Amino acid sequence: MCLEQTEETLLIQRAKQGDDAAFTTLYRHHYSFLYRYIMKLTLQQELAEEIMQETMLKAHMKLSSFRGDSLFSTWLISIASRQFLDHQKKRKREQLREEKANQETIRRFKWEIQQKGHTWHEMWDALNELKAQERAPIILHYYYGFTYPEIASMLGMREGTVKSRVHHGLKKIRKEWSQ
Amino acid sequence: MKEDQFTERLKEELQQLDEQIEVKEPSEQAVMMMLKQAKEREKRRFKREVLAYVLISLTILALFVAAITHLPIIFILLQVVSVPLCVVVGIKEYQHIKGGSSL
Repeated sequence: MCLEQTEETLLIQRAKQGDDAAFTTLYRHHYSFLYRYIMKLTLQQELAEEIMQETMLKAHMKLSSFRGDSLFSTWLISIASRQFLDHQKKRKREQLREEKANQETIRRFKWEIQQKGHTWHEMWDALNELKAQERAPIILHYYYGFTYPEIASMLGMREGTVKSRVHHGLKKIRKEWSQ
Repeated sequence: MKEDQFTERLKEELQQLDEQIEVKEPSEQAVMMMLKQAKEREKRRFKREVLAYVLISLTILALFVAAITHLPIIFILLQVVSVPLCVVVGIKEYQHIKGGSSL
């Protein structure tokens, strides 16, 4: 599915006026991009799907606040990032109980990749072991190419905080690698 | 490993991870259904909260009337309790409308 910029703008306008079909088209158009981002953050399919749903509902509720200052995909990625961080905060409280289940889900994803004859990279484990607040800015910066000020605005953090989280996160990954 | 090599490898491995992710796009009907259910949930939540606010307001009003006409000291105490309570409820509702820390 490929949408022209003007077509997307029209769909956004229609969705803002309450047209659910227009919103559905927009959401489905960005689904793959957004899902891949969340999967890179979580490595867990169920959790990624859960965050996708929460992101969709949040985007639907907050659509009127989208002013078009950024790309619609960037706006969605901001919502998804914050949903992910909120989710991790909530999960932290139940972490011990859920830790085993999370590891199991990640092992399943790892197994699926290996079954297809691909390699599971140590780097993915190292990334997954980082704190959520470090993982998100690293992926946004190094994979999606967002700048520090952009990430700061997306995650609602100060630019200095983003830089320091990226720095500490990378330091941890390097340490893992050197072991 | 030098910084550039390190970040290059990081990007490459993230790219490889991206290629391994299988996406099952939800059908149009599934998305529409989720939206419909969410709207219904939101309506139910709104009705529940309005009912709770009306009941609380009526209770406070009744207590205030009784207190102001019979025991002024209780009226003052009620104000001490109810004003911070209203502020807390207001903040919570604002956060809910704003969507927590989300956009």
